[in-house]
Amino acid sequence: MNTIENLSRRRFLQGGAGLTLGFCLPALAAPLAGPGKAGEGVVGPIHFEPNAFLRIGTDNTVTVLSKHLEMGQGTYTGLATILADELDADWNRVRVEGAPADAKRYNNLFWGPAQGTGGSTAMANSWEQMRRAGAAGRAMLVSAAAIKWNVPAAEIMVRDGVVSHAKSKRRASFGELAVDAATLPVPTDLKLKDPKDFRLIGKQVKRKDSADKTNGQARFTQDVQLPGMLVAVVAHPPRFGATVKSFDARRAKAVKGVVDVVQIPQGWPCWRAIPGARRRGATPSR
Amino acid sequence: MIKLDVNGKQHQLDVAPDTPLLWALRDTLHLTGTKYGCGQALCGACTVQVDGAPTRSCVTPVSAVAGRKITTIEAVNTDRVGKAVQDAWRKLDVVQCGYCQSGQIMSAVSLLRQNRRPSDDDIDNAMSGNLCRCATYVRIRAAIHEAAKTLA
Repeated sequence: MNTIENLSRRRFLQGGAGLTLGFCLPALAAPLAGPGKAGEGVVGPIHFEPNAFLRIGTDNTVTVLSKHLEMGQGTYTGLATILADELDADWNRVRVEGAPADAKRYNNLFWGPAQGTGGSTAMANSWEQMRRAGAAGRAMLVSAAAIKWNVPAAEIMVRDGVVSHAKSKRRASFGELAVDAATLPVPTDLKLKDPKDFRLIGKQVKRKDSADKTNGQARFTQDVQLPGMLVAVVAHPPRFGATVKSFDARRAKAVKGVVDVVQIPQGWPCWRAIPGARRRGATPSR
Repeated sequence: MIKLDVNGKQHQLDVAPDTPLLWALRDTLHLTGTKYGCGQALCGACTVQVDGAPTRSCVTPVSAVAGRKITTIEAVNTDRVGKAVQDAWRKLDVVQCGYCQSGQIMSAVSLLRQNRRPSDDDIDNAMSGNLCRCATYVRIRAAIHEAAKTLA
């Protein structure tokens, strides 16, 4: 465990450029062009975006950007847990979005300048990074409340997405403070939680990908459809090691939507078809 | 032109009669919740319901289901049994990668329509054609029992 933590810290510093860049992103109060659920570049409501991993909407939605792919191993949920714990967010308001391709901000800290998921590194390399991302957001929300209420920041509590000051009986949701918080400088001197105070880390929390994977809305690579996209279908040989002697493309080309039939370097013919014409129309002869 | 009744909507599709239903759903109607797994009815990822019966859409030509009632994962929550199964799946966090789960859910709904109190053996038999490489089988079984409980 210590080995992993030490390695994480060292690499964390080594990979500082990516992280610094992430934290140097201005916290913006202006409307941001968010990536959108299906990547449409929808202009969303006003967001508080203290760093590359966190976005808080005025509607109280906490969006965690996952730099690692969710392949069923639970990364989306795991990474969100780390950030949300340090942020003291309401787990029910946390959603996860895949980070865009950007190796400068979203690199795997164990792999240097590469953005990638694998080798059981996702949680280990992100541990301190995600904690700091959450802690930075929390500190800025607390500062915003302290200024607004004119009370000492040290007296302010944060729990389940609500910032409160007991003495003056004032409270505000993350969303209510988002616009003010976005105008503040991003802190670098962060105090992370004592592990005994963890409320989500180490506990059983609900997965963040259950809903979309039970109603057909989760998007897999196969579901991506782009304008003008062609789908290639490989006609595999009937046995290992087989090579192509020849093939007759005429019947395949006669299928509506088939654009071309080509032989690929491995020696197997490949049909390029537009969506809607994937069925096999011919058997290559060998 | 093929007439398809999918999730209660009527469609006229300009596809060849031997086009597998899977590709008509995914490519033509853009209902991508139904997945391509093996293309040979071996894995169950492409399972939809035709007149309520679990059907492997990857080997079912559209001509065979013209005019029949087709239901996909996108509309599974529009009836009581489907909603109960979907809720149970979410309550127990059944999914991992999720790729097979549309098919798993469609098969589970068909089972519960036939058998409101399935035993472990009933479940294993009914679900044996739906493979899951994440091996979520234990939670699938538990979720079917959970759905049966809420439907009782």
